[in-house]
Amino acid sequence: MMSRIEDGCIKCGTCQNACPVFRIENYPYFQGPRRIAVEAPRFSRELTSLSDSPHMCTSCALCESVCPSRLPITEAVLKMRTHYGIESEGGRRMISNINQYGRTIAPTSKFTSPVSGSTLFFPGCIGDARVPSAVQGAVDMLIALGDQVYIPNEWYCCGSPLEKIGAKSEVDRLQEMNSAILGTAERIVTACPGCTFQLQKNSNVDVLHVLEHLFEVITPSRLRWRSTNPINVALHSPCHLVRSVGPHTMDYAREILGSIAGVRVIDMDDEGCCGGGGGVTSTFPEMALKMARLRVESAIRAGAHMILAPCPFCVVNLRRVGDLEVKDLTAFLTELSLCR
Amino acid sequence: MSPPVVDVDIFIAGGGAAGLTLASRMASNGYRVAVASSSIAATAISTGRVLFNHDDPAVAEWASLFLTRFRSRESNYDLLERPTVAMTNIGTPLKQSLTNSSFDWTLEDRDVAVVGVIGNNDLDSDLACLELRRSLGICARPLWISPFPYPTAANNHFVGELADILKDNISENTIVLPPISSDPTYALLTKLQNLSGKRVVEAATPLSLPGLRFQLLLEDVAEEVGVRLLKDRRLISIKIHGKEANEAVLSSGMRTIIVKFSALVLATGNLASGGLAVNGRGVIDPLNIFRVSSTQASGIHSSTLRNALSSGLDTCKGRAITKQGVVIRNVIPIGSLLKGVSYPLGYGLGEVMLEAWKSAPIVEDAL
Ligand SMILES: Cc1cc2nc3c(=O)[nH]c(=O)nc-3n(C[C@H](O)[C@H](O)[C@H](O)COP(=O)(O)OP(=O)(O)OC[C@H]3O[C@@H](n4cnc5c(N)ncnc54)[C@H](O)[C@@H]3O)c2cc1C
Repeated sequence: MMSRIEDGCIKCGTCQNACPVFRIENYPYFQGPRRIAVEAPRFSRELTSLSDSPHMCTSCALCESVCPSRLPITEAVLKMRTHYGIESEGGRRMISNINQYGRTIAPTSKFTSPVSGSTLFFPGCIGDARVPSAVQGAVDMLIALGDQVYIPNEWYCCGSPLEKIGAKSEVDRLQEMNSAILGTAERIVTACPGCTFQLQKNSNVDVLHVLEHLFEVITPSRLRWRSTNPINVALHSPCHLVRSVGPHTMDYAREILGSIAGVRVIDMDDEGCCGGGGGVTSTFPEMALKMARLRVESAIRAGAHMILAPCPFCVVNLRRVGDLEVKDLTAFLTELSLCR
Repeated sequence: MSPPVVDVDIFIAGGGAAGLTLASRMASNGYRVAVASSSIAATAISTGRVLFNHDDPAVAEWASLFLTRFRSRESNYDLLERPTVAMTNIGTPLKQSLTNSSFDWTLEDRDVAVVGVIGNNDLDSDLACLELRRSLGICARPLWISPFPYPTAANNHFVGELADILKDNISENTIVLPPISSDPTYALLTKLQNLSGKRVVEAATPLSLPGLRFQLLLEDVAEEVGVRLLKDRRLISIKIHGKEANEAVLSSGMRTIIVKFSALVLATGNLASGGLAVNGRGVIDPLNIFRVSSTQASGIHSSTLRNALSSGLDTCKGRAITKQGVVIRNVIPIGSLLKGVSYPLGYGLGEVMLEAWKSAPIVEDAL
């Protein structure tokens, strides 16, 4: 029997046209979403000819968002990864860190924060290790706004990066480890789109990206910003925020930035994926860098002084280019907040 | 936490040619209009070449809103006095009345080289030339060139290289290329024409950049006249009380949004864009509350395809009818969601836009 995805494909090729990896890595090295998700499993003898293709997907889900048949392409690509097992160096390193620390990266930060309350702020592995200022800033800002925010003493990876590399049993184990810790919160807030999506899937309480929390719970009228020297910012749309959590988040980001005197949000000529998702930063670092460079060049052409990204993964990957300052949107906002 | 609420006069589900046409007309009349869309519109995968019924007075009205704004974006769409015949990427003729005539491959072009780019599936030059000779008895020369870098504003130098290849290696006057830019100003083709001294044209190509160009232009105009675009937000349910709908639920990623409105326009398209679905026994409305039926249509041999394409929502005086037969006074289906519209493939844009334009009074009546 054929799956919905194999059966539902009308072969229009829209997914292949939309795929940001396919733009820079051509056939046969990378074969595109349709080959990986539909054709290879349909004609199973072709599975072997896919080579590295399934592992090169950044899981940006652009393919899926344009699919006229609305097929779950990303899920199918990830399934192909599971089929092949975890072969990459980066994947092995991630799993070894999980076994040792329960995190994808060894814990580094010590945050100043209450350890109990009602709103649990979930730092996330990348937030903790690579952009701690965003986490600390967000906690400070929310406390100043009267929120009962806390970071629990212990917490583990949400499981999202492991799901992307097809490590199903680790995902289940982490969910089990986190369940008692997260179960007591009234609401969970995070600055990471991957954590938001992954935790919300298994939670009965609201798990909000910090932009949603600011806009829907705190509400914009209570937010106060100091003005800055005029600055052009390019607002990068993180794939996992726009397409997993939801496109409303970027409307919130624009509206909040629009209310800060001195900040001008400029449009990039080409929206796209930074290359930082789906584990490719560790599996195919050069490809990830090439994709990041396209984004940074687009921002520079548009006259940006800085790129803002509401996702720690995007921040880390875009920073690797080095030609333009890249900041986590949450960190940027907390620096300008008059509520601290 | 309760979901956010969007409050408008007119809510349009579906942002293809039909939805955007009506939305723009209503917004420029001063109404508060929001348009939600999810996944790709058939409009964006069509060739973007439009055939109008020139006798319809709505053509001029449509043009006064859209064409002037296309022009102010330097996208040189022309509304032709009489339809011309364009050639498609598979060498078949296509009638059109709205397009960019300076860059179209038309039946008038003689002394033609069709240039495929290896690895680009949009133009198979051998196939196009074969079909051209077979069906129209016209000779053109098929050629292939190796791939060039993906054109962006950043790698301008590739235009010069390509122009040199065209100038030095091709004797024919007219050169057909696959679509290579999503830019509606055709700046790249203008440059290629200037640098190579050749007439460089594009075949009418579905499933590629030309449809996307047309879609983006329509979206741009809609936003300019005040339409609120809610992209990637899918209509998942409609609340109906008696003979009136007053609330819709949209999904936005993993969340939901409530929309309150006075009139609801359904412009969700036919099968290709997810407005209808096939369930094994026939075509159904995926929201599954309105009545779907099909009309007699001809011209397509496959009965499955014929059924699918000629199916659509039933209406009574422009209003939708529930499966139980209740006419809902403020739900107005338009575009290829209606039965018998946009049939057969290759035509539809013109009719869909004009009919959507003309449904404005029905919507106003429902407010
Ligand atoms: C491959 C192809 C080639 C074609 N070539 C031509 C051509 O050359 N010339 C021509 O005139 N016509 C052509 N057509 C036909 C033409 O494209 C259609 O007739 C026309 O685009 C229909 O417009 P529409 O607005 O009714 O629907 P669409 O353009 O399909 O728009 C439907 C919209 O509804 C959205 N939608 C669907 N379900 C939901 C939901 N639940 N919630 C929110 N939004 C939803 C979709 O995302 C989309 O935005 C072609 C069609 C195809 C498929």
